[in-house]
Formats: sequence, structure tokens, C-alpha cells
Amino acid sequence: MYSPKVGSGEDYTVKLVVELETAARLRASHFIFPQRPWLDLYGINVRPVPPFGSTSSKQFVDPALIHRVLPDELLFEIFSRMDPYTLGRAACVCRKWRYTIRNPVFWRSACLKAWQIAGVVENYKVLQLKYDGSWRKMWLLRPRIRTDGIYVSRNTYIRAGVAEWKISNPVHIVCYYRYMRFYPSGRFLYKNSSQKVKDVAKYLNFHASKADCVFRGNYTQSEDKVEAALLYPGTRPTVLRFRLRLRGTTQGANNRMDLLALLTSGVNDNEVNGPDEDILGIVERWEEDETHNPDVPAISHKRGLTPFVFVPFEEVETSVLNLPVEKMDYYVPG
Amino acid sequence: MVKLKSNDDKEFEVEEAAVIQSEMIKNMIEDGCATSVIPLPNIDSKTLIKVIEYLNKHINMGKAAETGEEDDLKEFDEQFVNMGWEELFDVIMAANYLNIHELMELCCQSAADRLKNKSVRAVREMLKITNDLTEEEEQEIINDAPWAFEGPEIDDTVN
Repeated sequence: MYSPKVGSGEDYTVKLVVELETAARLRASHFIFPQRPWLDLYGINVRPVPPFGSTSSKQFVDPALIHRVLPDELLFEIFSRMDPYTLGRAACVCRKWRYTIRNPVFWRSACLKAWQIAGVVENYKVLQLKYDGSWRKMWLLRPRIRTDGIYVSRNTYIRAGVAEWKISNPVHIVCYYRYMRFYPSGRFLYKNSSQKVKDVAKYLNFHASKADCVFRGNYTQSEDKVEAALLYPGTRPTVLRFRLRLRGTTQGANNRMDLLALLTSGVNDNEVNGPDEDILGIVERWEEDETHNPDVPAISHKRGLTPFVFVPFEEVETSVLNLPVEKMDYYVPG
Repeated sequence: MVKLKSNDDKEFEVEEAAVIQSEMIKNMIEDGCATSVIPLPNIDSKTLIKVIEYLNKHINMGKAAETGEEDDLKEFDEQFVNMGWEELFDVIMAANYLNIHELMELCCQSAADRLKNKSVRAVREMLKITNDLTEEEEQEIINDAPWAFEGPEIDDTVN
């Protein structure tokens, strides 16, 4: 409406500006919040609708109590407390478990624990360089020293017996074992004995008494190579060095260790201070035939180098390695 | 004393020292919201009794370490989780809701341990899970991680 009065004209413009403003605001808000009806479904689990006329028109009820009662995040809590072996099998239980277990979180914690002596930074580097950033792949493929049991090397040799009033000479098969138990911290225990694995397993730990003759050392690992060293104390302290190579009878099993070299050499009294010293650090750059005590020559041992076979703690009682020589004169580690 | 009410309208009186092991109730008390009965709409009385039993036993955790009662507590924990799956899930849900960290740890670990070294078939049977994987998918998983499936230590029983 036209008005000749200047004042009311002004009034009109003001009104127009206000109207324009609200319209602009409306348009802007429309731009920021477009209609997204699917957002209403966020967080709601939608069951697939059976096709019309389908026989199973009643609502799907999972027969498994664990799926009905526990939400996914609590199922996750349970999985995160499983060891990787149980987890590996759990992935095969059903589709839901399979996808839950694909979560890298489980495998990351398993990896960081298994290769803790390499350090977190190094592990992340290896992850990117070799395993395409997949912790799961790393767990499956990277050589790993197992700490859930004992590595056993069974060695035999033939010794001529003493013939008394007999025409023929008897011979004996003598059997002895090397036992190695590794800890994730970088330490290991070693024992050389004729005792069977089921007996040694009872005391092969850090509480072992002196009489048990369990020796402590430390180890490092790079790729599939393991270097380990320990000190035999005494009047002529001797260092025992192992060069080992990890492998498995199936991929990821890590249940064999080849003994590439077994070396002994003398150490100087002032080189070592205590039994818990980092002995590996001391001999790190030594040559194979190096000895620091002329009374103890450096020896690279050529006998008793049978590959180590891994025996999980659950199997120490039942393992075939417990068989006496009468029952098993020769054992092929495979 | 703090009063808790289960979803079937039963009331329980619990010492404050015991009940503050629940982060949730501890926060409520600190905020002054626990003057009257605290209703727990997600927990039935059967489960609540179990949880309170646990809280009362663990009331003096720090003290137990000093007086050498740790073994006693360990034995109690072992006995405590000796229950059926259904009850265990209920306690896990309650522990999660009340935010009782130690109880959550104990029960989830127990659930995980029950499945340790069990065969796939045994796990399915124990938890009544229907196998919805195809044979090819199963084979693919086994080929992926053969080390998890081999070895005589795998237990096929469902106890």
C-alpha cells in the first residue's frame, strides 16, 4: 500500500528487511540441516524383514543366550580376555564372532605383548613395513617365540657298554634333553638333563632352586633368528651361546627351533658381576672362536644339536617326548 | 547404609564401604543423590544378591593384602564364578551397569577361560550358537590360522 508520508515509507522498508532476514535464515538452516530421515535409525538394529508370504514370518530370536543377553561391547570384553589361540578358534564359531574378532584391537595387544622386547616403536615400524598395517597379519606371519610352554631338544648317542663274561659287547642308547623356556621380558631358562619333560616342567621357572640346575640367561630376536646366552658360574665362568632359528610345522605355529650353533667360551672374572647380568650384552660382538680366559677354550659344539620341539604346558604330561628310549629309540622332530 | 532396590521391588541394605566399589553408586553418593532408595531397573534380585555378596567380601581389599587374606579372597572368587552361563551373563550385565571394575574383570575372565582350549564344536554347543558360516568360510578361517586349530590340547567336551 502506497503512503505519501515519508515516515510510514521508512516503516515499510524496515519490515521488508526483517522479512528478508528470516527468509535468509530459514534458507541457511535448511542448508545446514537437510532432511535425513535415515538418521532417526541411527543406533537401532533393524532385523531383515522376511519376504511376504515367507514361512518364517515370526520375529527372529537368536537361540544363543550370549547374543540375546550381552550387547556387543560386552562380548568384546570377553574376547579381549582370550589368548590368541582361543580367539583364533572363536573366529570360526559363527559369523557374528568372526566379524567381531576381526577387530585389530585384540591382535594389537597380542602382538605388543609377544614382541615386547622389540619395543612399541619398532613394532609399529615392522607393522607398516611388512604387514600392511595389519596386526592380525603380523600375529599370523611374524616369527614369534612361544612363551606358553617349553622348547625341548631330544638328543641321543650310543655308548659302548662294559662286557663282563660275555662274548658280545652291549651298547646303550643314551638320551638327554635340552630345555628352554622363554619369557616375553627377554629372559629365558635353560636346563640340560636326562629327566623327562613332565618332570622338568614342574620346576622350570624362576623359583627353581640351585639344586635344580636351571640356568638363567637373556635373548634377543630379529626376524626368525634368536640369539641367547647364559653364564655357567663357578671358578671358571663360562658363557654358553645359542644361535637359533624359529620355524613351524604349519604357518604361525612357531613350534620348532633349529639349533644353528652352540658355543662355549671363557669370560674374564671382571667382565661379569652377577648371575642376573645382561650376559648377552657382554658377548654381543664376540667372534665365534673368541674366549677371554685362556683356560677355557672356545668350542663350537657339534653334538646334541637336534631341533627344539615346542611342548605347550597343557601337553607336558602327554607329550611323546616323555617316552623312554625303549619305546622310542629315535625321534624325528619334523 | 545404602538401600538398593532390584527391578522386582526387593530392597537390600548394603554398607556404604561395600557399595562404593561401584563407580556408579559412588558418584551418586558423592553427588548427594543416594539419600533414599536407589532403584536399579536393570538388575533382578537374584543377581543383586550375588553382586552384594561379592561387594561384602571385597569390602577391605587393601586390608586383605596386609593381613595375608589374599588366598582366601582368591578362593572366594573361584567359588563365586562357579555358576551357570545365564547367571554369569546377568552378573556381567550388572557389573557393567554398576561399573564395578574388579567384578567385571573377574566374570569376563571366567567366561573367556571357560572357552579356553575348547574346540569350535564344543564352544557352539556350550553357548547354543547356531553355525551360520558356510563350509567354505569355515575352511578359509582355518587356513588363515591353522596354528589355532591344531594340537591335541584342544578339548571337545562341553563341561
